[in-house]
Amino acid sequence: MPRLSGKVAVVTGAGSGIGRAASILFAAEGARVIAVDKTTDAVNETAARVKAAKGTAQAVAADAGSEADVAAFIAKAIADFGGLDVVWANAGIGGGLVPLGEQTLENWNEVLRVNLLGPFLAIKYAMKHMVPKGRGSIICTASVAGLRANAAGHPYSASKAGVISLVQTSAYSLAGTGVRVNAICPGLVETGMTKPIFDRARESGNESRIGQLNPLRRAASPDEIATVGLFLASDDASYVNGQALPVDGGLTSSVPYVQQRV
Amino acid sequence: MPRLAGKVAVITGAGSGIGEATALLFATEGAKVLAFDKNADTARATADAIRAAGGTAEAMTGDAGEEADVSRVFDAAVEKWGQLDIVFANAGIPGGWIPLRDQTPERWAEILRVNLIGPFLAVKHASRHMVPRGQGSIVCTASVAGINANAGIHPYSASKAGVISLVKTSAYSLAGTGVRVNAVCPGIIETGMTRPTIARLRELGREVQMGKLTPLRRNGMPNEIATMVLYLASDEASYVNGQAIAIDGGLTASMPYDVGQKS
Repeated sequence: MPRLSGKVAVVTGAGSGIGRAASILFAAEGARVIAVDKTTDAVNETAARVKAAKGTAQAVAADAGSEADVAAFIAKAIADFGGLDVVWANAGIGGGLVPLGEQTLENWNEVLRVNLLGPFLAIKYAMKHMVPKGRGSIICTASVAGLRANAAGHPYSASKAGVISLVQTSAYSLAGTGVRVNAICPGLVETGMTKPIFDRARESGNESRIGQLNPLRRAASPDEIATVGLFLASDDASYVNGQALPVDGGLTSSVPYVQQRV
Repeated sequence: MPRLAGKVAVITGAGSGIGEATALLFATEGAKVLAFDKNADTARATADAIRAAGGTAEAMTGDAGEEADVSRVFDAAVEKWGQLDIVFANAGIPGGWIPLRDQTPERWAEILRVNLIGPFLAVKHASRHMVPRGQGSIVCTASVAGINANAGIHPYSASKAGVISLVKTSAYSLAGTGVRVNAVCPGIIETGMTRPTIARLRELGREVQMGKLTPLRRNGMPNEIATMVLYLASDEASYVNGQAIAIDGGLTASMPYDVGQKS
């Protein structure tokens, strides 16, 4: 039996990377999916791929950091599919790698708006429908950058640390309601957001060095993050709550170290 | 010899609680202190108390979440005393106890502005003065609320988690410069910010229960945080960097547990 049979799932940032992989996987496991992304073409393509595989999906173009948009796409899930079981607040922006002394409040505020207020809004509106039903699973994409330095820029890292805090505090707000809230902390994953890093490494002939700092000695594919989301979304994870799970090949299990040449 | 002899320190949120206690302790240990607070009266009272005890201090009023104000306070310290050695980015706001469903992005943004953008601005502008001299210690006030749930409202907790992240990421940005960046994570401390909560619990007769939650069976006092900040600010902490240190009576050492249960 499919692991999300009969369930309705909303996935944000569904136009590429982890969100697209999650939408396709969730649909393959029986969920009806509302795929949300700020880029219309990208999210239409995700929905088309789900449908091509005989799955069910609706594409929605929206800003995951806008309260009105979040309220609207959560309402659409109820209107189109009659319920809401899973929300994966995955949309995020990178924020660039600007030196600390040159960073602006404008960029900080925009990164915090999308990456941290977005998940807050997803929880705020998802819980309205999940609490009365007495169940639901909310997943937020955090990052290893929310756990440690040197994975991304300062505002991105701070926003993801905030997401880890948000799932802990919200798990308590939803205590006794049957709704679970967890985060995933991806390490190095090849997605639309990280593509420039991978392109630069390939151009400079350094492709073989990608991911060499983690014990698995490679980057992850988006599917390897989506499968953890599937676990958290499913009833298999019925006692997993308030957690931030690193999925990073072991990267955050180490302090910085000098790599031995073999 | 005093532990901060000859050093110049800027402390935000210095008008009350942890900031006030730290300003008084720093001055006792020989530092010249610029006491910064949004409340002009309390900032002045802190500076007056230091001077009355024979120390050196100035007061300044401003908004710790406003870039122009933060930039100005460090420039003022350097102009007055010729250098900047220590910054304690301590100013913060609590956010009240509003249920999740009633919270607004506007309130979130204000809490993030003061509690998280404030320390970012302190690091950004303090490092401007510290990096050329090849030394300095920046300490930010985070909270146990940044580590786990149920110690603050959601945006307060998220802002403090962000501060813990900020000291780690900034420690790497300032790698090799001689400037250290750390955070303190106070637990339940009796300050102006927590007084309403503690007073309410006292009325309800539940104060004892709250103290019971920590293995020390009591709340902390501002001076018990100030001593940790003094350590981090001093040269004794010369290899302590990028850390967020909880001072909480052991509160975060535990997950939730049945208070009546014997452990």
